[in-house]
Amino acid sequence: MEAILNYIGTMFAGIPANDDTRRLREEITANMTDRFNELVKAGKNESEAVGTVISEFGNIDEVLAEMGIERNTAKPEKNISPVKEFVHKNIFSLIARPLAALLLMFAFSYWFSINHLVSVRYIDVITVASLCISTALYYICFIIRKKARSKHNEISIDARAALTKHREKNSAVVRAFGFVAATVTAVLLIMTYFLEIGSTWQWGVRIVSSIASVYFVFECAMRNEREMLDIYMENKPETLTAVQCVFRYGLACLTIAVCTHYHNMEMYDGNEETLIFMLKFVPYVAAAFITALCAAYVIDCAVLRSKMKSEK
Amino acid sequence: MISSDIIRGYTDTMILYILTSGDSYGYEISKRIREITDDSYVMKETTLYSALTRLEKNGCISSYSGLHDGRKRTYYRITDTGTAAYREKCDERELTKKVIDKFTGGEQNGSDT
Repeated sequence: MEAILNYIGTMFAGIPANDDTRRLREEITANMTDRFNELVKAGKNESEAVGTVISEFGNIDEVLAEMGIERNTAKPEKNISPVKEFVHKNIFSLIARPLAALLLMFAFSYWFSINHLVSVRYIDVITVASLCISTALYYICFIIRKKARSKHNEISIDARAALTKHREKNSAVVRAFGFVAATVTAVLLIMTYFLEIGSTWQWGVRIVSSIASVYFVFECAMRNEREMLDIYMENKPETLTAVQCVFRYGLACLTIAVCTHYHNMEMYDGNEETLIFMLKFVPYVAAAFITALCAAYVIDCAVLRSKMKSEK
Repeated sequence: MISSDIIRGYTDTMILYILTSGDSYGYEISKRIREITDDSYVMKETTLYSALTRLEKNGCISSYSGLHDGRKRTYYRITDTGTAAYREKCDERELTKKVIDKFTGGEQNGSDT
């Protein structure tokens, strides 16, 4: 049976996924399954039955011609990975989305850190500009997605299958982490309204939670493309992806928390000089780490793009 | 073995014939073809679906979603246009048979099998 499904998968490779082709594939699969069961019931052994069923398949191009559908790739090379096809089609989103998330994070980080530690001119303008650019990028990605969908220019059936398979197989850790992070964030938010932890910490925790929630939402939105990118790069094991998530998320929270806390500590007397000295630099270091990480990711995407161009 | 060139002209007729006796779905249609021809002719999956697509485009059949054995299947039903087309095909077949028989001996020659 597996052989039959694989055969159908191969036959449908490179065929654009729309309602008609999906229906056709479902029908043919159901028919071949029924025929297989009929043959087995009649006494044939499984491999014989599979052979007979496959020989009765015919030529898929005949049906496609009737439906007026053309295959996606006219190139003779049959081993174009369906994942590569997906990445190739979504290259703009793959670059634009992390960039937008980066800008969004910085908009919040810099507002809270730089604004309180040093007076930077036009910080308000920089923050608002980052927010605007970030929103614009997300909106453009959304429009592109919408257009692509309306032109029936979706990823092929096999790329979709590969996507689903990979997401199920390798993203369990990332999703678990995401779930835990969301829960913690929500709990913190609720806590701030009910517990008497003192105004400073309450304020800090509230800010941390809000920013963390926003970050988390965008992180989830980016997850799909990021995982595909990881597969394509073929050098990022699952654990590393999870570690990167922890790192990004953790640093984001740490930066904001320390910055906001520092702002309030300024008001207290009797703090050790070394402590203040350390705290002064931690936000910058943390922000620098986040910058470096996200920049590396954006550079990865740019490298990928040039790779694709040269492969053409 | 019948060459595919010859049989291609008749695939639509075969399907329409089966649908005149009632609505049916893909697998059942191909099964009935096998039964009727005593396994002399097995219609390929893709041939079947090309024909069904063509017939639906011409308005000879219509499709609807149904259930068989708890599974969702597409059922096909012959339309009035289809019935008329089928009659035409039958008449055409009679005429063709008369014409070709003149060249192949037809009823004058005894059958080989």
